[in-house]
Amino acid sequence: MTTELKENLRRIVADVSEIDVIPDDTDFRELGIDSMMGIEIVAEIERTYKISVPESELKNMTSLTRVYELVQSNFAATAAS
Amino acid sequence: MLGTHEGRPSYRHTIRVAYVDTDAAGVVHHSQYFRYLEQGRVELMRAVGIDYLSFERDRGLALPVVEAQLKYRAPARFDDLLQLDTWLSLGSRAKLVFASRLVRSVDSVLLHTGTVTLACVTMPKGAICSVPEDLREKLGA
Repeated sequence: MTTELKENLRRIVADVSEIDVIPDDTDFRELGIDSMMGIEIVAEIERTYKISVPESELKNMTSLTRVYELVQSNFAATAAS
Repeated sequence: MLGTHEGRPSYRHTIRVAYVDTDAAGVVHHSQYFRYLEQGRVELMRAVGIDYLSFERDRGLALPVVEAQLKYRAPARFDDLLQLDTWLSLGSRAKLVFASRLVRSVDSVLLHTGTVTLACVTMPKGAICSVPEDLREKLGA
């Protein structure tokens, strides 16, 4: 499940950014993903997983691993509530 | 005048070409159209209930232009009366894309079409942030 989630997130990032290879830990800025594109990515993740990412978290979504961790913590918070 | 374009609010703004808008060739300089487009966007927002001055002052946000594309089809000249239609063609959490169409009133000749993309930033830092949901909703996104 976790691998599947990460791969799905990788696909979303790749689709929105139109960048073929999205390594786990490379900073999005190094890949050419700017902050505006980052918001597009977050919006697509929200649509796909029916979650809400707070504005304060946007600045932390700087790599695929960080996105994955934040989505996982969002799932956990939803499950606990 | 507020109307609709494909189900979204649109605004028709009337512009009288000033002498200062024209260049040595006697036509409106290409840079002036960006000023017209800005007027169109501001008036569209006002018409749907968003006063841009208050938007910046009260929310501490701004909507800078990040991309613009214009197709110049025919020139406008001093004293021409123009009709500029502006509407939101795409709105998301990351950006607002405004489309426009400018015609000369007297003969309805199409002068230009174009799109202008705006992001949303916090002021004064200029950090990118989400476009407020109420703004998107009022513009029909």
